Amino acid sequence: MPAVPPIKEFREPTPRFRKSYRKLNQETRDEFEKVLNELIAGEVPRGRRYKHLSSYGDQIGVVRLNRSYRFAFLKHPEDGTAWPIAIGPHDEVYEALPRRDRRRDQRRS
Amino acid sequence: MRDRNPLPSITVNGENIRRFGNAAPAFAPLPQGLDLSPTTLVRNHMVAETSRRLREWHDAVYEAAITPMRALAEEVKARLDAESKDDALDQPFDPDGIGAASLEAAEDHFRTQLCKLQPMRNGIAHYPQVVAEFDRVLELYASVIANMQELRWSVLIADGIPKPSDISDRRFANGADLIAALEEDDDKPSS
Repeated sequence: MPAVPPIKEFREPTPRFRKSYRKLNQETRDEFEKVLNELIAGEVPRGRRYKHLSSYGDQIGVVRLNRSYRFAFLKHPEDGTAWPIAIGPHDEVYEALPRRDRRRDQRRS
Repeated sequence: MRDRNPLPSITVNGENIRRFGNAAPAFAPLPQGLDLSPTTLVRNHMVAETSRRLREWHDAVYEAAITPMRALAEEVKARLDAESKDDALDQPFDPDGIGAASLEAAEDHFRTQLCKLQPMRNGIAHYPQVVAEFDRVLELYASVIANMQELRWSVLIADGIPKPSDISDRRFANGADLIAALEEDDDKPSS
């Protein structure tokens, strides 16, 4: 299991995040709890496809909850804590297509 | 090849995203009168005509869906990068979530349409010229879904960055505690 920088603690979720959480079914909520513990332990299975987004100073991490949902968090630059910032539907079948299309368009132009 | 750059400038806000999301499903079904039945395609001139119409349809959907979405996504990314030096975005892109909800509905619509179109490919398998254009349309529909999803997540992430007023001292050292806090107000009405 790949080690990732552990999240020391999660911070208070924003009202917007709470609203998104309320839309999740029980199965996805259970998976979310599992992911939170994995992030705190710094042991995230490869299948979660843990990654950092290049924007916002590399502070935004994204992990897969299951085939249809994912979770994003914002790391505090100094103290090792993180805010949950987004959770919702995400169909991984279509994940790589925009990048592939942009590369193809660049080649064409 | 037409020049698809530079992308037009579009103001990113919930209303514009919602308008786009609501308009996009109109491009999901193939144009009316486009007949892909083998009995029609058996006439030689219909192969060329059908291929031409599919090609035009591909280009029209590209311009109507992909181009504005990329412009919106670029704008979100640029503002997010610029604002990363401050604490948070001045104004959320989609304050009440209507834009994201309409994109999610449009993604579902294109996904459903894609499932309906895929079996039609078998009927035209003997006409490579038509199949090639049809495949480009299928690929484009998948790309529309992917770009919508990427735009929706860009907005979700950008708008999820906490504002100074959202920040409290409360911390959670394990998943169960955070879930318990999230479920504290499960019975409260959504704001």
